[in-house]
Amino acid sequence: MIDRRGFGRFAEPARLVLVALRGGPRSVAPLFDEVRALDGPVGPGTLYAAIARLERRGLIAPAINGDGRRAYRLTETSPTAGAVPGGVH
Amino acid sequence: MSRLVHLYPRTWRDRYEAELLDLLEQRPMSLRDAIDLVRGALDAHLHPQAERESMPWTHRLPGLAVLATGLFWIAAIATVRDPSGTDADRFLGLAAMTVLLGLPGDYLMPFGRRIATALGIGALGVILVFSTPWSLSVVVFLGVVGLVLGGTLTMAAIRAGIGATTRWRLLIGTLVAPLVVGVVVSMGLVDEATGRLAVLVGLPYGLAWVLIGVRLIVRGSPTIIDPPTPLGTGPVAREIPA
Repeated sequence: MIDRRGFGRFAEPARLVLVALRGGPRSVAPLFDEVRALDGPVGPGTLYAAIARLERRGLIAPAINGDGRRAYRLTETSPTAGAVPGGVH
Repeated sequence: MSRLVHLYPRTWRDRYEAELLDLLEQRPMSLRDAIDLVRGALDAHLHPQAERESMPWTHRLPGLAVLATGLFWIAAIATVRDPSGTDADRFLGLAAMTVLLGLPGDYLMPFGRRIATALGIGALGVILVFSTPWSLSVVVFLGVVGLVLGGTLTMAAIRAGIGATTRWRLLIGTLVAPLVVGVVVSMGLVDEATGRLAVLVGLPYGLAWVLIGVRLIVRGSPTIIDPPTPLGTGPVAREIPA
């Protein structure tokens, strides 16, 4: 579970980013598609507000994928897989 | 829509601008997305998440190398009228070395295909220079020189985080336009005046390197000594399969 404080209206998008990353590291565009598929029209500004907050708290970390594009992955301190859905408190 | 990214704070852009622009290029965005970007920028100003980390000193090295390239180039241009030409050759050699120090880096990985294409065209040009009649080989030679000078300047500009539009303006304003004007004007000049013209043609290009170098020193750029690290407490960025 992640602490809602500091996430504000981005708590739900942040939770969805974590859910999307449970399947493994994702490049930004596929991550964007997956979060949209989970929650409708999430915009790029909202996505990055969520990513910045998650990264700041060490819940996700950047990586580089095979074609040199930026990707994100869960960290060791990320909520456990079972705790993520609905787990923002 | 990419212009809206400029609404974000500088520190935020230093960290996320490149990947956000990449996303905007890959996915079609609507008016609603544009409004969302504006709201995101407002949030980034009100609740800054991206803080500038203390930069390792090694991240300044690429900028210093690029700056040195510009200064050596200007020195070479300034001494090109020397009849012996020794100093100019020496400075050009130094500029070539500092270029090699300043350009390599993982920031070029997304441009791998374009770089490979440019290298292929350059190699073809070199072959043509030696295998075509004199009049044509001069044109091809100028093309190869332009490709090398323009390509290296573009790579330095990419590393300095300069956007595509500004890169093109820089390239045309400091290399293509002076080169074209220089070639056209030099056709009717005697040797003495040609030397003076070379200074006027080459100087803008050297100044472009100096400006990019200063920007790169200020921004910093990861090197193999200190690879890029994420913000906060997360572990070092690492490569994952595509």
